[in-house]
Amino acid sequence: MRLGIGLWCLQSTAIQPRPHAELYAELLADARLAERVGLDSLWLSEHHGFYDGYCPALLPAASAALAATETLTVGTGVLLLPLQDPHRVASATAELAVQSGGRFELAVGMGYRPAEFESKGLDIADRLRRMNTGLDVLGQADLGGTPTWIGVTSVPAAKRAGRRGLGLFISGAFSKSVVDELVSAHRTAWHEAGEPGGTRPPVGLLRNLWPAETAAERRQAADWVRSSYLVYAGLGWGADDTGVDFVSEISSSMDEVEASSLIGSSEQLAEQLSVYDDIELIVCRIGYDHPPRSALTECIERIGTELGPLIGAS
Amino acid sequence: MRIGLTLNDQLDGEALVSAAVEAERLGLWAVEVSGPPGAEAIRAGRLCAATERIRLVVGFQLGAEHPFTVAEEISVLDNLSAGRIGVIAHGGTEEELGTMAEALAGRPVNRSLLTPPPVQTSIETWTRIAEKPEDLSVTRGQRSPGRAVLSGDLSIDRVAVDQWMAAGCTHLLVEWPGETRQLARHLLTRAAMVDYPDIVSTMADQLAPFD
Repeated sequence: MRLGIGLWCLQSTAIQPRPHAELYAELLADARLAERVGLDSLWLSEHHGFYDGYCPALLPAASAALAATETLTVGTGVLLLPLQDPHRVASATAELAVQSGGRFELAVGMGYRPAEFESKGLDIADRLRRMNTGLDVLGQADLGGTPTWIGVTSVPAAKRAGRRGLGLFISGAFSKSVVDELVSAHRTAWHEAGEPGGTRPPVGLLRNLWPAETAAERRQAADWVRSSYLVYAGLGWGADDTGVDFVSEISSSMDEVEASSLIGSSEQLAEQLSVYDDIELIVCRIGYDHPPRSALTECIERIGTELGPLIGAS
Repeated sequence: MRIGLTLNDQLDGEALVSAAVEAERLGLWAVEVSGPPGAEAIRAGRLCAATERIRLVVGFQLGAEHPFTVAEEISVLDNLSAGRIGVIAHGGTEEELGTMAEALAGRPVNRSLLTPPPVQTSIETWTRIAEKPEDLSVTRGQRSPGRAVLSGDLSIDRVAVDQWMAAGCTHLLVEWPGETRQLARHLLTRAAMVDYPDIVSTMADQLAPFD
């Protein structure tokens, strides 16, 4: 099992306002730290036009993080493909593959915020067509061997990834049963499509996770996780048909977020992760806006030096 | 007149970085980074991490990608470099250039603001660069960029630098076939002063000869 960390969003939030240039400098420092403590990968996340400066251009940021490191993989988790020219994404990906010696991975998703499409003169109703066109372009391009994943929150999207022989990158707050359903749909679709690529495409899973020893630390970590999702509730964004819907089921969704979060000692976290032993990549979602920086760096160190060895991370 | 070094877009990763680091070490004003659409931002991102002070002038091809997206890449690069990005915009319609400029300036485009904003108050964006001194557009108080392919033969290149300066060029991007330290010793110096006494460079060669 590969063990990575995410999601680096480069936000200066109302909770913790910061200079953005400092956040970008910390991205490079965090990438170096992740590498030093033996982690496999660091994953970035994209949005557009939100007040906090949520990173809108992942590939230049990935390039800098890769330049600052030597062995770490850097990935997009996820790049919103319908919002971009897929030929340009393909060209950038090929360049990243060369520049990094094969340490870049590309996970793409559809996007769900109407304003992001409007900002580029697009209609969100067109996103599925643009996604499929973009995947066709990526599929035909020479990406320098870059592993490609599709970020999903639904069974149809999981099937889409499987049919194309692409990795499945599963969003963070779903219960084990939903995860199992998505993985099953992905693997079945891959098999029914004639097993494109010949090798079963991998599954990556985001998990809200935080190492904590005492009851007080656990409560605080749970609050950090909850608060990072509350903005979704406030803004009316959600994912349908997954048990996590911040539009119509706010209370149960927040409970679902907390219930699916892994918070505890490294030994407890390893035990909780053992139920995902058929999953190739776990991305520990630790990129919340509330924890102080010292807590984040300690978290990265503990995941790398304590949790990684316990789960036999490669 | 300030001199920047155009990095050959055929340079591979390590050579690209070492050329930029060397230019930074020698006090050049900028390196120019280019590449196929999409790759230029990746090459620039790499140099954001590999350098600390030198300005990175990045050539973007407009037309295929939405100009708001290009503006987003520029802003991320400006944050990664702590405010060292300049832009050369190739192609693009007036409308596309205007949209990119509006986003970078800080007004909404299709009801969206560019976030994060660039570090710099304004991003120097050049849409036209003179290829010959006589083609320079000179307006009082404004920058007048030029681009020169130098020969590496200092007796010829000194004359070229003088011609660019005399024509009013403020920022000259050069393709330079020789060692960057020769460029710094002989031509950056020359471009830094009106009527530069060339004996200074000659004496430097005698007092501190390169290996």
